[in-house]
Amino acid sequence: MNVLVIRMHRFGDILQLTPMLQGFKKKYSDCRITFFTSCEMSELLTDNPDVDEIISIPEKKYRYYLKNKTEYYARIFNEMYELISGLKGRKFQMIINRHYEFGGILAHLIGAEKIFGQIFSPECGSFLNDPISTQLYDAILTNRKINRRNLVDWACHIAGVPPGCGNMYFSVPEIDLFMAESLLSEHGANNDPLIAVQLGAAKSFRRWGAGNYFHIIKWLIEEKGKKVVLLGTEDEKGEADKIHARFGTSNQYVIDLIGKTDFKTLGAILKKCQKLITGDTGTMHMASAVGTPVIALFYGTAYPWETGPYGTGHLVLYADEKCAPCFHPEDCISGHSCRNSITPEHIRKAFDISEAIRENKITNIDYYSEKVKLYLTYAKPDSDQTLVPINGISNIRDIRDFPDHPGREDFKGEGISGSMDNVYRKGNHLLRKLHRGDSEGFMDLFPEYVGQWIKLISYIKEKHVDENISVFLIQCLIPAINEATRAMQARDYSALSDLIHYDFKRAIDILTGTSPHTAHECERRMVQ
Amino acid sequence: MTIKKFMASSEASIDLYLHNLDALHVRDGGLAGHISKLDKHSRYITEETRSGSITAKIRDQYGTFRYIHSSIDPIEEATVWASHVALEAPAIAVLGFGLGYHLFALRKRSYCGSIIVIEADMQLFQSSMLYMNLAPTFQDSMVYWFVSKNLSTLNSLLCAINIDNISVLPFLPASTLCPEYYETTRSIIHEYLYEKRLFQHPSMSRGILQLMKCLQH
Repeated sequence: MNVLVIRMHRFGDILQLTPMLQGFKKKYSDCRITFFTSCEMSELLTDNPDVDEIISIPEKKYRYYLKNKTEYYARIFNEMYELISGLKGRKFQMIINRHYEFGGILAHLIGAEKIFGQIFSPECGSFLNDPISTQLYDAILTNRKINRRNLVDWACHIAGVPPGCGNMYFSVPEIDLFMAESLLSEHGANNDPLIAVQLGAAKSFRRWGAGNYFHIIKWLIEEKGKKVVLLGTEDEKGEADKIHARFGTSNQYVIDLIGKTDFKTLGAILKKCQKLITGDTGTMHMASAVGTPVIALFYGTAYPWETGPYGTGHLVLYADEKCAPCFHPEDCISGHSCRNSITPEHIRKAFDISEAIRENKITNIDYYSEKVKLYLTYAKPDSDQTLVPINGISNIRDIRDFPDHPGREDFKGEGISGSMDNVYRKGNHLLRKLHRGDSEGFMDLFPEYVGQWIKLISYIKEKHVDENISVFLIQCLIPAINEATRAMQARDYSALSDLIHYDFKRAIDILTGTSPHTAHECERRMVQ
Repeated sequence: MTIKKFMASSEASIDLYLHNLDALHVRDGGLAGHISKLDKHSRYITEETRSGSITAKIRDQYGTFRYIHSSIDPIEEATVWASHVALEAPAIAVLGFGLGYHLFALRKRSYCGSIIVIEADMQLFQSSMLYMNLAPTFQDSMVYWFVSKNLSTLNSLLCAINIDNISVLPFLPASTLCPEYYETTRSIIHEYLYEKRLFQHPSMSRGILQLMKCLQH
């Protein structure tokens, strides 16, 4: 069976589809899943064993060009025309559209025997094509509070697979774990207990505030002996600056990684952390996907039953106001009282409970709040995830039987050979871009490819690979990297193609043992 | 490694050049006439590669040498380039001819569709005629030649060929020497295809225009 899944952006929403993909593969073992998304998001799904193919369009670039460079209009039209014509020819048996109007039009153009989610027709416009999607839409529009089902489970129901059939999944290759270690080590964190804090959120009304986070961070450092990793995008740097200002001087216990992580590094950093404290953000879903416990703050528009962290053992603090969850926070007449009702004290208590769960210590739970409810997430097979209210649970023994965060085996790169496979694929991908004339795409990605080689050199040194090979490789790779720098500046595409095809390929052959290598040859080349 | 300049070509190369010119004259007398009137001092420096083939290089506006083809094995480079081409495309527009390796690689891969060769630099085209036997390609009715800096007649050529789908494949090393020219070429080809598709496939086109509207907003 040939299945197409459509979801263009918002990385949390894409990660929330991974359990559905897993369930689909379990139910239909011979199915082939193609995922249609934007180029910026495709990294989320690379190395996902349940995704057979990723098709992506440069959504941000297209949007920019359509708004600002109308001379590209015909080109974008033709690119999309050719892509969609190609997809139409594949004759998908099923399309699962999780991207509303855009996905609906795409599904209509590509066509399939069954289409789930929103669809489009020239006669009727956009409409929902299956009863479960209609239920979800009605629930959200009429009264969100009635809905007790997480969007992850909704996706499973829509796709016709049992809820709780899969876990959130994001692959973190070994080399990215190594790079995360190096990054943390550069900031003075060497095997220290780490707590990640996501300061910001895409929308400002979802931010709890730097002032509140400052109290928590100070408490974590001084009372709990932790180091704190600040996470967020470049746009959220302002929030981090407020925290640094309050500390007065640079604090060695605060590791600021705001704007310094891509998806893989973010996942790797989260894996290294004991916990994540966050609002309703994509990072929250990433933490769930890599098996890191979450303490999540929900208020305003965010509704924990709908978008809470998925998987057993996460804690959710929910400001259950009468007006929550709201649709128009910008028109709030209560001064965002929901956000203000969650205090650092609530986080402290939630943190202690989370630690007790982690250490499997039986203890009395000391938590009660009328306005801010604390829930524990509980997901089990063949069942929708529930939120178990901690309020009123007198003893942690009641929830002791909850399984640990069920992670999945990461795609094991198997050290160097796995990384070589990755680099080899990246090199081929670059060559394809070059030969299709995508000079922009090639030049965007080539520095990253060179960066991968630089990472490998560090990796080889750290892991004490066979010394002869190590020295030879470094002597062969460093001139290649220097030549790559020259050729990138000169936009000498032939030279860049030669580097991938010959110099870097030679290094791959040696490292994977596909090329005979003798000590004599190594010596000879070293002399040269 | 030997370095040959245009004027230092061997007698055999001159014969090849004249043979090519005769074949081109039959195909496109105007183009042949322009080529034969060109100044013999070329900006391109040819040299023999490690594999024994010929490559060419030129100084760009910053004075840096830039290779038109691989300095190691241009035939292999062209073969790899051609291996990524989708053979089902009814026509391929190759932006930048260079010395012609990739055109031969395309034909070697048994590509049977039309090939539209677009090259801005007549001097480079002239260089290729010194080293490559282009006569068979000039005789190939499925290969169309557009060798000119003036793009005003390109759309007419496309309309005359009347193809529904053209795969645009720049050969980057050659095409990056005149980036504005090849950008304009791409725009002309895309405009041609856009108009054609709007007319021939209205419902699909409407859907795509709607997708683009979604993207914009």
